[in-house]
Amino acid sequence: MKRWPINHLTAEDLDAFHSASLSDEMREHLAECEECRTMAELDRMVLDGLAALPALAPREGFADRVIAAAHQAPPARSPRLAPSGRARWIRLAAAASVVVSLGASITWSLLNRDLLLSWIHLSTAEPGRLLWLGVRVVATNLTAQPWYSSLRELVSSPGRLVAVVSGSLVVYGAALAALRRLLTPPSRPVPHALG
Amino acid sequence: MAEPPGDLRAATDQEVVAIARRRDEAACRELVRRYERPIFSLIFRMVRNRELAEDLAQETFIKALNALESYRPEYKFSSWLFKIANNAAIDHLRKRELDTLSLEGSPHADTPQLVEATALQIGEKAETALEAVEHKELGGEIERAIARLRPEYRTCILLRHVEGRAYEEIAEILNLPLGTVKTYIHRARNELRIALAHLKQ
Repeated sequence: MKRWPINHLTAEDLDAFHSASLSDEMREHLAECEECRTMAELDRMVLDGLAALPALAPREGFADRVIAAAHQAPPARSPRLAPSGRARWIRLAAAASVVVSLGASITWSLLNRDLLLSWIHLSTAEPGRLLWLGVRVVATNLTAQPWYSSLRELVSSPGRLVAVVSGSLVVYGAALAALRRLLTPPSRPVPHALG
Repeated sequence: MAEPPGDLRAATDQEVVAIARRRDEAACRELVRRYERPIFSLIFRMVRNRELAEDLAQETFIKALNALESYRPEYKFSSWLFKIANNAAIDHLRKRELDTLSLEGSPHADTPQLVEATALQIGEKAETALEAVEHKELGGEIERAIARLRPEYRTCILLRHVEGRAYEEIAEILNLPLGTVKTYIHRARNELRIALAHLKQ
């Protein structure tokens, strides 16, 4: 059965053409369509040309240089060296200072429990209050806008709400498709851009 | 270069790698011997500068030989090696832009010796003088057209149609979805067809 509308050769068809496994339908199309025939022949020339590209060789002695450099290069995972005497003392001092600071902090917290609780209360309550105030300011500002009543009217019934949301989605989808089309590189030469 | 023992030549990549992991020099040499041309060719066609390509190829092999412990034998050794080579080339291209290919030598070569050293050799497979000219013409045009491709298209087309790697293997080497690899290859072929259309006429 013929495909309708007429489909020119796709990338997969081209691969099939080169491996002599093109479908009868596309073979018939190829016999009739000069554009596809030219494309297939050009593609064949490109692939033949690529396959005929020579394997390039580095200069003589490449392997010797690699082996010599590989022996000199540090191993991928070097063993961890034991710390020197001075480094060990520095590490011990650092660990001791952390332990002392931690102990002092715990002792102070236990002795000043009430003060600490009041700080915690203040630090958690204040941001929450500010956030709520911000929400109220934004909401008040919104309802004071001249277009707010017409917007509310527009989405007042579920039917209208659905229509508005669907319309927005369609516009969004169309914009995305248009953007994608704009960003896709042209598959054929653009005559006015060839200079 | 010393010839590797006959049994190493006949061994599979995995067998040679297993020996090379014990820091056996002959096995390491054998791995370099097997892949120096494909790795150098790929990198050279990516960066288009002979000396730089040789440095990056050397870096690739050194990294690979020093990291054989981390190589997982369930994957093809060649895929792993091509991955290291491609990363080296792409890292370099990100740092520096080289955008013109010269069959007569690197555009950065400023002495006759450097020009000769960086010139691209084409036509080694030709048998007669006429074939050599034809190959050089088509080969030169293709090299130039490849050089104008985006680096990701270039790697894909070289691995597929010069190195003969399967789509799935290229996806593995480049860490790309299979569909993306196919798209890149077909777009690259499309650009090459456009670039070489005048030869057909």
